[in-house]
Amino acid sequence: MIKVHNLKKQIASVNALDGLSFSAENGQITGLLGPNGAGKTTCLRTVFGLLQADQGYAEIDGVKVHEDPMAAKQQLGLFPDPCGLYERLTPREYIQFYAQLSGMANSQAQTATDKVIEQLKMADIADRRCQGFSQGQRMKTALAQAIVHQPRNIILDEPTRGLDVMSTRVLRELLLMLKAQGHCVLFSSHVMQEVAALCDHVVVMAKGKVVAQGTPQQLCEQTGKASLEEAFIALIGSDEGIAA
Amino acid sequence: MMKQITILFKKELLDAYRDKRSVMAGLYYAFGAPIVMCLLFSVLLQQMASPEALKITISGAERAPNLVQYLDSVDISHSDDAEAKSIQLEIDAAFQQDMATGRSATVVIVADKSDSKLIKSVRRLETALLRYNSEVAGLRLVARGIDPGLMRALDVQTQDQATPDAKGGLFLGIVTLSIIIAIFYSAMNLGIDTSAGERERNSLALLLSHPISSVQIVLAKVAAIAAFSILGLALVLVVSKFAYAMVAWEQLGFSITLDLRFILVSLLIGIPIALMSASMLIFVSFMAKSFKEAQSYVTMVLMVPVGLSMMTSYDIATETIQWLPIAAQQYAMIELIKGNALPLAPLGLASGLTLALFALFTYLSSRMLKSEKVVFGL
Amino acid sequence: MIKKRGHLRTQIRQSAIALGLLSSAGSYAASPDTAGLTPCYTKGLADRLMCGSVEQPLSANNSEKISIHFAVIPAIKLVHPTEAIMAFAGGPGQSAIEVAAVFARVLRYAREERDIILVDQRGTGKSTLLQCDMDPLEAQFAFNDDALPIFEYSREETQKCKSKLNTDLSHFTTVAAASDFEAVRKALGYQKLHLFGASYGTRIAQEYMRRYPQAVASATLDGVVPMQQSLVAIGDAIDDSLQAIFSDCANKANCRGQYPQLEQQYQMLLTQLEAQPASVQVPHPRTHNTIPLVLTQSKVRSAIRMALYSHTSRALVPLAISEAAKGNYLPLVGLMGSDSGFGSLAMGMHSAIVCAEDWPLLTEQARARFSASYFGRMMIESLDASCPVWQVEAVGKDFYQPLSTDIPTLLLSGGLDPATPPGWAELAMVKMKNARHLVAEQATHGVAAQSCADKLVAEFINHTEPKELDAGCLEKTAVRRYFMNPNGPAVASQEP
Repeated sequence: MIKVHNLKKQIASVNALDGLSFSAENGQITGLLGPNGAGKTTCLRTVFGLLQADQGYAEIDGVKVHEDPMAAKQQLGLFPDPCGLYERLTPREYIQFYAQLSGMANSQAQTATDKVIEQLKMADIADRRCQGFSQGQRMKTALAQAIVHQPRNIILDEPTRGLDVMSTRVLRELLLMLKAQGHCVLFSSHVMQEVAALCDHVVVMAKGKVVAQGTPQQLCEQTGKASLEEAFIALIGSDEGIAA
Repeated sequence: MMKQITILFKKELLDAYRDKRSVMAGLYYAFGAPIVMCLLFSVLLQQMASPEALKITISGAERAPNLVQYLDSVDISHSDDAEAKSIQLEIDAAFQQDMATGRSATVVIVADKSDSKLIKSVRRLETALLRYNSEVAGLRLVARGIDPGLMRALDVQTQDQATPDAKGGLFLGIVTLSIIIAIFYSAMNLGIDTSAGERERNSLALLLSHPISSVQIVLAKVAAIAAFSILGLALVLVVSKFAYAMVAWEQLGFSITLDLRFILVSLLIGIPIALMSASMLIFVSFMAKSFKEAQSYVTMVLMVPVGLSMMTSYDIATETIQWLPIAAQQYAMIELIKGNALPLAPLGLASGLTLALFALFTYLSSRMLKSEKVVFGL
Repeated sequence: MIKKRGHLRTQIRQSAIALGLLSSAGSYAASPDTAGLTPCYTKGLADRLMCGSVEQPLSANNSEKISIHFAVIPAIKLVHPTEAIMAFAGGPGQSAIEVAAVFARVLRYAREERDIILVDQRGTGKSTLLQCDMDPLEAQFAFNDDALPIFEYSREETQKCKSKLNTDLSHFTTVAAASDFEAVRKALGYQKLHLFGASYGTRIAQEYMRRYPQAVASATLDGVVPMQQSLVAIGDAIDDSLQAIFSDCANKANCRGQYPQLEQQYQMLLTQLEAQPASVQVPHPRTHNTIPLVLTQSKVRSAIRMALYSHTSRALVPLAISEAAKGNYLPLVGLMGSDSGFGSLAMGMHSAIVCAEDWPLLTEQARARFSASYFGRMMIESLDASCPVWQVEAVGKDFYQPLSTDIPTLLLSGGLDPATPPGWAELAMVKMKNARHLVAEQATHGVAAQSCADKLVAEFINHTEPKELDAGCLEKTAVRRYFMNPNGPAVASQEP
């Protein structure tokens, strides 16, 4: 479970986060929806302890991130934006490295790596160096890294960007599977369809604040619109920075 | 604690090993520097040496046949070549008259003593004339029934405590300079790549999002960079051992021999320097906003150790400087080549200071990794 | 005709046959302990040497020990750690360590890559020095050595020295010493040696080659003493070397002009002094006190003989003879007073060698032949007197066999050598299968010190191919022009 409580963060005189509070439950897929510049990435970075909030806190499985970052991060998997691959390593080496770093023993990490490679159907690229990978291949590798150690909480920052249709389907299936396994999945996106198709719970963000939250259906009802897209536009007052 | 460092250290080594270009750039120095130095030294030695048969221009040779014959016996002779013009020996018109009547007979050496190529030759000519002078003067005394030993009122005996290995002077400084610098340069690219580069490629944030502390990250990276520094050091030592053995130092009356003991002790001395160098590289790279900026900062900062090393090389270091890191270690290496005892006190202190700097840079770097400005290059 | 002390000294100096190298004597500072090597220095050489010693039996059937001292001149760059150059000093009786500076200079190119070992041969230097007492210069000047037959006087002086030394000289011969050099080589751990022998040093070098051929990589013999010939043969060499000056002077217009009839002048001078030695007062060469000089023909001959060794002093010979003929003995006094380089010969050890090795070779036939020269006669007489006193055991007949070897060997001779002329080297090499004899026509004793031979020696040691050497540079002469007056070789056109 991931919880943020009244997060405030000022970056260069802009209030990137302005009293942000929401929670993402286990066994649910929570979508963080907002236009570009709404503060999604800042929010996620704060959850990872990469940024210090000026006020408020983030909590993972009840552990406050700023108090015990190590314990908090132990239960997290991150799919970052941008991917942050090591160009000179192969996906297998890369995934295994992070598995070990997240606390798995060597042999355990190896097995988990093999498994996730199979799961994501990336055996064909697993032993090639990342240099020159397509965006889809990069995303898959990064995703594998995020879930290899089976964290209870998985955060994905814009996970579908640049994925081809097939990969997007794989990703969806994967997220649904994680959800079924009881993981807490939190992802940020500005792609409406994706959010609508996957999310159990949607948090709509704008200008560092939560504008509205609930199931996609609740949001539609709340705004009286037929589609999530229209509901969204109604909520934030414009469709700028949102993709259908 | 150690586990995380080890995992990251191994990854860094693998990553660095795959980065052939920057690794090789560093190791090229370690491999190439001694060889280039040796070629330069060889050319220099050749220029400094006086030619076996020294040709000069002698004017008025007919006035002093005995002197000319003497010079010829030590391979200094007259030639009309243009080359011989650079050193002229003018025998005074009154030479014979003065010689026969016991006056000092004048000979004039005309040469440009600022020309470093000529110095040895001019000195050789001067020495030959001095020898001739004392020979004739000695015979003048014998002809008068006097022991020429009387001219030596003092019998000055010098007992030179230096071994041939200790007489290399400036050359020893330059040799050790090139070895010390290898520690810094062989891992320079790697150091920048693993810090500023990692940040620029966005992998730093992901790494920091994992359960590994910033100190652990810095230590693992420092260890990896230092390992390459030591590799560079080992390479430069081995190449130097063979390369410098080829230079004909013995023509100048000394030799530079890098034995196994020197190599092992230098590696040991080099470890604190490598750690310090690695932590400094990381610190400076993180200070910079971009990879490019890091490169220029690092180049500037490296002037400091190089400067300290140069001061030792050219023997202009003051007493105080000789206790400082780099300078003291290099001094110890020079003493080792000379076959003298290791100066343990300065070496110990300087190594301690070096390690303290390593600790400081490591601490500062890990502090910086907690700053979002540094991590995201804001 | 009265005999006096000091006579023997002069005679012994005359029999100091093949002096190795002209150099001033020196003592080395450190006293090395028997265990390891200790740094040490010798006179005239600033470089730090390493000194040490080995214990050797005095003789095969005797438990007494003798310390053999040695010094190592370290290579500039030790390229060949398993090899070294071993240098043998002359005399016999010279200490190799004392003349380290000379060896360091002569072998400076060879030293660039190899250590040089100098061993004080038993009886010399620090290895149980066998030295007889030496008269001061004043006594030598005042003594009339023509007053009595040499024979009696030599015997008397020898007996004094014998009772002083109180040792059996038979343990100090070339044969006895050879094993010491091998012991030093083994103690220092060198596998191969390049020998460099000068003058008498060539004899001990040849003996070493004969006994330990497996340890020798090459040998350079400079001023060669053949095994099959007595050193007494030196008399002819002295005469020839002086004769070369007479002919040379007669052939050169300026010398002929200044010193006409030089040879006749010399003979006349000797004849006069033989009839009546000249008694004069002269200033002491160093103190300048006025001291008496009884100038005999043998003193003149000895002074001139010693002047023949170096080009520098040869330049004074015509002047010294000409002036003496005119009654000015100062140039001769200068020559007699400045040859201190020869003072360091260990005369006890010298006698051990010549009495065991050279005296027994004097057959009737040899005596007749060598007596043709003045110095030959004097030496025979001197040895006949002293050797029966010393009672040194004669060396075995095999010792006189010419050395048969295929070790690469370079022999060097000087055409003007007053001690070991080129003919001696030819005799020495009759059974050498890989040898080359180079003659520097214009060189005197010790070729390597006065020509480009120092470079040739280094090249030879590096390649050990005697046939490959380019000896062209030996033609270069180090000969000086004769002094035309006490100021130098120049003649003034007119006094200003």
